[in-house]
Amino acid sequence: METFKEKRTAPRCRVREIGQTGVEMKENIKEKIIALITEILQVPEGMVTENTLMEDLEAWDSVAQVMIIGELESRLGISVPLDEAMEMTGVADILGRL
Amino acid sequence: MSEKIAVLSNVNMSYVIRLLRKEYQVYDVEGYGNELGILMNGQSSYHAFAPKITFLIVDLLEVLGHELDLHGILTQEEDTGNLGESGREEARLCVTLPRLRDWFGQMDHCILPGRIYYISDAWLWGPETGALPEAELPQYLETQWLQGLVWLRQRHENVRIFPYRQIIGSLGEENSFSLKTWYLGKILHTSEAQKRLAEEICRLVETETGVPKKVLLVDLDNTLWGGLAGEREHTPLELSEDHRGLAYKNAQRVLRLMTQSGVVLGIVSKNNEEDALTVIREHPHMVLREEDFVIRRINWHPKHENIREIADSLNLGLDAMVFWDDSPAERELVRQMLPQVEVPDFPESPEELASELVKLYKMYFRKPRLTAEDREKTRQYAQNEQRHQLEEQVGDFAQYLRRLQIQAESLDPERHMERLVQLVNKTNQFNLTTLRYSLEEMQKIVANSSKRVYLYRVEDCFGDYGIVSAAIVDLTGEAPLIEEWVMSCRVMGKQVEDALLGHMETDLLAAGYGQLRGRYVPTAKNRPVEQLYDRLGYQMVAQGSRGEKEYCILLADRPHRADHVTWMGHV
Repeated sequence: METFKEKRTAPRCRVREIGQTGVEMKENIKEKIIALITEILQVPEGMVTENTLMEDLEAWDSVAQVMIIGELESRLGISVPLDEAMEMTGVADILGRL
Repeated sequence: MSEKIAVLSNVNMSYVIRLLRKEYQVYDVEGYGNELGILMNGQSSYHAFAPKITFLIVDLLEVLGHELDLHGILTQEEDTGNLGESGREEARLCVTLPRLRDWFGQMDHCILPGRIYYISDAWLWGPETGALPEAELPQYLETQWLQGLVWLRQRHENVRIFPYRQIIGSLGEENSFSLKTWYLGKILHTSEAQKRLAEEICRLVETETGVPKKVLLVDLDNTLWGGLAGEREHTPLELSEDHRGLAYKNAQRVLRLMTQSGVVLGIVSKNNEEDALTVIREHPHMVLREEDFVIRRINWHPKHENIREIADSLNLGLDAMVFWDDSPAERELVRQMLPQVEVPDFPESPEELASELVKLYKMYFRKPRLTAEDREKTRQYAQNEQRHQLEEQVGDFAQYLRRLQIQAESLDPERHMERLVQLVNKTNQFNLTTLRYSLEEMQKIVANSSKRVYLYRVEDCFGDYGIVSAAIVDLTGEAPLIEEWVMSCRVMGKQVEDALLGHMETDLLAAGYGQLRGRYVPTAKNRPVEQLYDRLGYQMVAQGSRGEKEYCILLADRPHRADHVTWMGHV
């Protein structure tokens, strides 16, 4: 049960943190997105990078994709429109939306 | 081999199933939204998979087909036509909505014996529900659903309610539901909600498959109240409706609820007994009173010795006990000296006491379904303590037995199947052959005309022991054979078994049998009955290589048995 207990997510975290530069914010978000994907896919840290494609990881199937898009919205406030959601092929596409 | 479970739903539960696959074998459901179809189709892969426990997480709005145009339904006359089959006490299905009646009516036919079903209670939510003109409609519909669940649960002892509302309530609607995932893939819940659903499913599988503890032994000072009972004249105890006192009071409230579900509560405290009892009897904010504690050892002896005595006195193993004490030294002592006793950690501040006790209850004591017997357990153990005290006063054993005024009653097994199965599966010491049967198998045995099943209830002058013994006699061989005989340890040591055997012997003799055979198969735990048949006057006629023994008696020559037990009702 420890495997999916982890940290409780806070609702809607702010994208802009006070005092950060534009670049820092972007780096910050990138990390958060990668961490989010890693968590949903339940893979070891480090397996998901900026260049990871869906087809690279067995765990990243359509169910996982739906969950990732959903959590991007509920945790990070990043809303991917429905028609674009299933077109995304990997991390780079998601980061490209920032 | 991990447990086989299934998670069925009318919404997409794929991610929950994914989380659960790490712990259990989970049925690979094809799609969703067809939960009734899967259950009703005898050829479905679900039936081939044969899960032990099936979780049905049902979204109410989907069942209703989003039909919320229920204008006037709140003022409708209730037409509660009976949906049950005629027979014993009827539970009326007080659900008026046709879609819900249909759902529960169909579900009723899908319940198979021998499997366990958890069906969720309801939380009505959807993108449109915020616009409902009648604010009470969600609750009304959710209550209808609950009534359906309660009806099912009354009709089937293997149906339980999955606490879905609790999960949504803790997280909050905003954090539980996701329209994004709903639109993309009919996944209704956020990942957090799904994690909690999976965790609760795990917890429930554990309660179904684990063996719960029976006894919770608690300390007093700084455990049930703040401060020391012995020093209350100098420093008043913290036990009140404010601040830390309220935290301790709430902890007692949790304990009180636990006793109502059959947890046996006892005290192990280093105090002068008078000081402690005065507080327990007279402090205005005590929630627990003397009668809530089945047993106590309040003295200056080492706690592990007290706990051992308690185990002896209650006739329970140390592995049935949980010890709750604020002192790290005492906890460490008990852990080392009595490793079978469970000693959880104690929270640092009294504010956490109540929630820690709730966790403790869920982890060690929660049972999937309470029988009426479980609820009475505390009273039964308390009565036992009184019997022990009588035994100390009365010197002569025979006199002690007579003074108990034991009475026994032979019962129809068909009317107590739940308890019968519980006895057969949970009894270890007084168990002659340790054959275990599921409810389904037991039903076949009871229906089988070449088997006779005996079931006995016993009481004495202190109270009712409940249903304590069961036996299965096989009539197919050259002589009837007691192929299974179990008796609860509650009634051991009073020669009650003599009376019960006497009853079976008389019954079989009257049916025309001349002999009766018995069998003993040794296990690690049933040494106490190794010589039982010998003591009861049976002849050993065969012995196996692993210590199994077969016995026989000529019924006409059987010894006179158990004067101290009288029979109630028809014999």
